[in-house]
Amino acid sequence: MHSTGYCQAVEKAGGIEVPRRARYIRTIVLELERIQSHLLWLGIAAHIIGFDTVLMQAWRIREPVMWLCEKITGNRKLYGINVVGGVRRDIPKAMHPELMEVLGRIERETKAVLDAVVTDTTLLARLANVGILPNKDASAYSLLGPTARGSGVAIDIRVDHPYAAYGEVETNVMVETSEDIWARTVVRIKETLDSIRIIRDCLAMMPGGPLQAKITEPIPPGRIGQSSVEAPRGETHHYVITGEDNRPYRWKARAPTFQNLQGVPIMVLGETIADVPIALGSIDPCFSCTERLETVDVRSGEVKVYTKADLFRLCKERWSKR
Amino acid sequence: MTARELIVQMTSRFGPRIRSADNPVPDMVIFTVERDAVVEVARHIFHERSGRFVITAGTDYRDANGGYLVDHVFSLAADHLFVTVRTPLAEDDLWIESITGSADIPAANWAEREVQDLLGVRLRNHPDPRRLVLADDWPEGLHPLRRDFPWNGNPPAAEAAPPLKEPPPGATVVPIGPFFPVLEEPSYWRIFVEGERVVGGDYRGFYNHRGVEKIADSQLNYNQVPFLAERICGI
Repeated sequence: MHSTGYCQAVEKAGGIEVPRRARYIRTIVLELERIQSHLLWLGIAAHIIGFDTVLMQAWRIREPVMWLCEKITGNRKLYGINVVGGVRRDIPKAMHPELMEVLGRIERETKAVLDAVVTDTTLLARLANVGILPNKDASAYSLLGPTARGSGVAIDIRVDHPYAAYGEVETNVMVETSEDIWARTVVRIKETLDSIRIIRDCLAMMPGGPLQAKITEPIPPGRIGQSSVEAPRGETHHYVITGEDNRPYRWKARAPTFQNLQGVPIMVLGETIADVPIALGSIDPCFSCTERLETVDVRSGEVKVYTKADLFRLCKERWSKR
Repeated sequence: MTARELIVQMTSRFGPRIRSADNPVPDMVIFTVERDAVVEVARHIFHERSGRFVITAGTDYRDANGGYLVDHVFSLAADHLFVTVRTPLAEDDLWIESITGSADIPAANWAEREVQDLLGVRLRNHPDPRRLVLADDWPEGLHPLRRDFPWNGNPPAAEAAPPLKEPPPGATVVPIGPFFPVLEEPSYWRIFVEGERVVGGDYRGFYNHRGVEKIADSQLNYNQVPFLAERICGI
């Protein structure tokens, strides 16, 4: 998500035209990301309110999406697919049948979960009419993504500022108006199903051609470019001023949680303490994901997992050597 | 409305207080304004044109034009336009009127405080001008996003008590910190409660601020940044 936003900002500043096939591949990867992220969120949200069956089911459905991402990009997460001017890997025709098969399976299973979830009285009791975010506050605080759309604010960067292949592929903005956590849940489940449809459309419409633009001239300094990408949690915005030495002079990145977190105090006002965790969880907060690190030695196949304590010790050793 | 029409309307409304209007790429308009016009222009875009607040980006531009830039970015969704309100500031007179307080744009609260912390642009009339990104024991007067601050700079530790908000009278503080479910990262959220009811709160975060922007524009080249950008997560 962030790498697409950054690349698009630099491409705009430098006047680089990205080939159409690359734009379709970016779109497919972005939508795969949305599917796995929304399913991940559904599991975590259910876990927060103590409904672990949904956690197990959502993550079971999610796993094949991760395998697919690994197959396409080489990584389960942090895909490394984007470079300025295009993408690094193709999605060849030979991969389409497998993609379609996995998408079909996820679609069936997500619909089954949806059917089970919307009729579940426990979930409704915990999520409906809880964590109210009024429409006017969602606008005043410029909240983003499913958080805003659950409060009836019809914003979606894919439609508002089309990028990659979104100008050519139909995109539906999922809006709910009940302003509670339930609304944000429904928005996410509907979006998951819509993402599956978008990927199918992209595969059907994908044109041929190169994967990267030929960049012969250096990007001139002092130019400005900005780009937004609709990440699963909302808009990520990237702002670039180009510089000398083949690097940006200024790069500003804003993740959606930065904005959405400012709306949480409104959601929890007047609620009970027990509802605070799920209200906070309903924005899908991403504070940071740097707690653990796993390394694999490709030669010996040896796997070592560093815990938070290990990383802390390593950091301290490193700093004390300075 | 096209970018051209927007520029015509805005310049006829604000006259010379808009110093210049640029349209470098089709979906982007930059209005460079006088400092005393920022609040009015931002208020007009946010409230009268229903612009959505996007970011505030501060730039240390001293080696190019001798000063700093503060860019408030808004999105006009219906017109598919990003509108930037840019204010150049002199190095020796580094303050700006807060649009959070003066133009009634609550969305800009954190973004403005971030610029204040990282670049040292003082805010006037901000409703909550405490530190946001920098730690409470970070020394005064050091601003990591300035060009003359080294990317691997490591200031000496200082002693400072964190300025926390007082709960309303009669309310109890419930800390939601690193030991609480769903919030296990180093951020600290205090909830004010009366009995079981939440009546307010105060958030203190960014203890894990990694300074990726600084690394990108001082150490990496264009094509290395995407791999760093992905690691922001916050997808």
